[in-house]
Parts: sequence; structure tokens; C-alpha cells
Amino acid sequence: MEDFLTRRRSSFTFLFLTAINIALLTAHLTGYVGTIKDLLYYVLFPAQDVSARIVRSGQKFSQNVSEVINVHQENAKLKKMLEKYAYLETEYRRFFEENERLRNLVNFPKYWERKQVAANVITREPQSWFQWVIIDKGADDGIYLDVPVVAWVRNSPAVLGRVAEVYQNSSKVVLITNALSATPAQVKPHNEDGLVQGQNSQYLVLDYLLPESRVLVGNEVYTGTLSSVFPPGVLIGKISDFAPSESDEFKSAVIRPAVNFSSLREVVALVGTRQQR
Amino acid sequence: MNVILAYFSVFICGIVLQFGIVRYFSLYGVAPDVLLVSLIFISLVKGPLTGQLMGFFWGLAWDVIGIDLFGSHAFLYTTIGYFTGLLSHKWNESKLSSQMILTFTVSLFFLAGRHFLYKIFAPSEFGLHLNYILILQPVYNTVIAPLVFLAGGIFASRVRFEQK
Repeated sequence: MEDFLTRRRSSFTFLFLTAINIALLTAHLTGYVGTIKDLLYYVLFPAQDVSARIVRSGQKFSQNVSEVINVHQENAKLKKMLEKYAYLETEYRRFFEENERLRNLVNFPKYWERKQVAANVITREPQSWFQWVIIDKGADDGIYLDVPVVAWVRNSPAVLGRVAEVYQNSSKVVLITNALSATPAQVKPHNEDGLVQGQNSQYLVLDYLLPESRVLVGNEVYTGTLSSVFPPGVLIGKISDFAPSESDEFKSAVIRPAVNFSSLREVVALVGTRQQR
Repeated sequence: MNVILAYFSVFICGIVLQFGIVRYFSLYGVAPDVLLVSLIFISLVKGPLTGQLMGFFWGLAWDVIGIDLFGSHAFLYTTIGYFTGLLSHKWNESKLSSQMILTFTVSLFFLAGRHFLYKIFAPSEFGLHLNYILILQPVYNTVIAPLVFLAGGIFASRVRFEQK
């Protein structure tokens, strides 16, 4: 008997469960059946809640991944735009400064009755930084030896140097800071004469000032009437200090040039008329 | 104890999968009946007793959560679990064709059984109407059957189920 029941266990279970199922089908959702269903629903509800949470977290995760990817792409795109605009800003500033310099050149006064040839500084050697530069204008543009070259500083010209070598389309300009350069000068406002000499550095020395000279620090120095190269009245620089003189008969002053020799861009060569030449 | 916990976890996973996740895999309103396919697998592997018990509880859960004729899923799943379990060790469930043929046949039986139960126990309520969903449902079940059987086989080997 026991062996029979064991072997037929599944069949008896099936009959039992079928009876329960038929009872559920015939009872409908009334009375106890409805109550049992509601009870079972509350028992099974956490499973549904879990599945909804799983789906929501999966959706949220995919949204987060998508957002991270989008943010990353947008970040890369914005970085590129930033680089582009940083470059444009640099270019804008460069053009703005060039525009200012060129505007100043255009307003250059013509009271020396000389032809003004604007040129760009194209070559400058680091080992000869305060000695010479090469400009992009030469014999074809009317340049010749000893033509004075000035630069534009705050709406007024300032001494830069003179042409020492001329080629077809370029010229070599010896700077006023070159040790070989010597320019007669006058100190305003007292109109005291002296000789400005280059030191192969960013400073100049004004020599041959009389001991009783009333020259003070801050006085401006201009080209004198004795200069054979520069027209008179062109700004050289300002007195910044007094230097020990080699001679007891004269005293010396240190001049800070008006031209910024660290930043030479556009210059003007003052080409004279045929008679002046 | 491990076996009971394993069956319980299978039960819960089946509920979560069928009622929470499967709907996102529906095509034109046709969603697979993962519980039915899983029941077929369990019945073939474990025999009629496990099959009908699993079918009863899954079917009852479906009737509780759903709004169909109360008891219809429990009855049909119990029946499917029992008779499919009788094929245990007589049907080669590892072959792809066997899986698909059995799943398609059982799915058709399930649809016919539901229609029969509605006719008898709830003739005035919503019954089955022949439309493309009824035709495509067994096909969808057949398509997912190999995946379910594969996943079930991996799970069974991990939990060290003993095959009868």
C-alpha cells in the first residue's frame, strides 16, 4: 500500500490540485475566495514592487550612462570651441595692437618734408639684439645709406637708428643702442647739448654734459641740430639716472630710450628729397 | 534546505520577470510567456510532481495579480506541469527542435484550454478572440524556448539539482 502511494504520489497530488483549481474556478471572487485573493496579492506585491524598482533603476542607469556620454561629448566640443575662441582672442588683440600702431603711423606728421617709408622689422638676431635689425624695405623703395629710421611711440616719433647697409628689398638698420652709434642731442627744457652713445644694452648714455648742467632725472632728450642723420627734435628718451663720468670736465647721464626695443614691429624710414640727399 | 530556497527563488524570479520585465520585450502587443516556457523546462527536468506544484503556484500567482478568470492559470499550469512532467526522461529536452516543438504545442494547448475554461466557467465574461496575438504568442514562446532552456540548464547545474 505504501509503495503504491509513493509511486502514485504525483497522480494523487495532481487530482488534489485539480480539485482546488476547480473549486477556485467555480467559486468566483466572492466571500472567502475574494479575501484569499486579496491576501495573496499583498503577499505577492513585493515581487511586483521589486520588478518595478529593477526596471526603474535600469532605466535610470541607462539614462545616467547616456547623460555621462552626452556630457563628455559636449565637454570635448566646448573645449574645442574654447581653444578656438582663445586663439581668436589672441588674434584679435594682435590685430588691435597692430591697428593702433598703424593708425599712429598714418597720423605721422609731415613737418620734416621727408618721404616716409613704412617698413616691418623682419630679422633680429638674439646675439645682436641691441645692435641692429633688418627691415623689409630696400633700394627699390628709395632707401639709401644713413637714412634715419624712427619708431612710433604714443603718437610721436622716436629715434630708432640709421640705415647702415642697403639691399634691393631690405636694409640693415644700426640701432641707436649700438655701441658704435653716437647722436648729438639736446635736453629739454634747458636745451643743453650732449652726445648720446649706445652701450649695446637697453640704456643709452648722454655724455659731455657740463658739470654745472641743470639736467635732472625725468628730462626728455631729443635729437640736436648738429646731427647729420636725424632731423632735430626727434625724441630719444628720458634721463633715468646719472652715471659716473670718465672725465672730471664733464658729467654723464643714463637715458632710457623712448622706443621699446623689446618689441619692434613697424618702423618708418625718413627718406629725403633728391636735394636733401 | 538549499533546494527549497532554490525553488522559492525560482518562483520569485519568475514572477518578477513575467510581470515586471517581459512587457518591455513585447512586439506589437505580443509578449512571451516566460513562466510557461520555464514550467515546461522544470517539468521535463524534475518530473510531474515538481512540475505540477510549480505550475500551481505560478498559476495561482498569475490569477492573483491578473484579472483573468480566477483559477484558470492555476488549473492550466498545474495540468501542463503534470503532463509535461510525465514526458521527463522520455523526451530529449537538450535538442533544440524538441524544445521548440514541445513549447509550441503546449502554448497552443494553453490557449485552447483558456478558451475552454472561459466557455464553461465564465461564458458571459471576456473570453478569447482569435487575432494575431493568439497566433503570434505561441511563436514568440517557441523563439525564446532555447534561451530559457539554456538559462535553466546553467542554473540547475549551479544549484546541483539531481535529475530524476
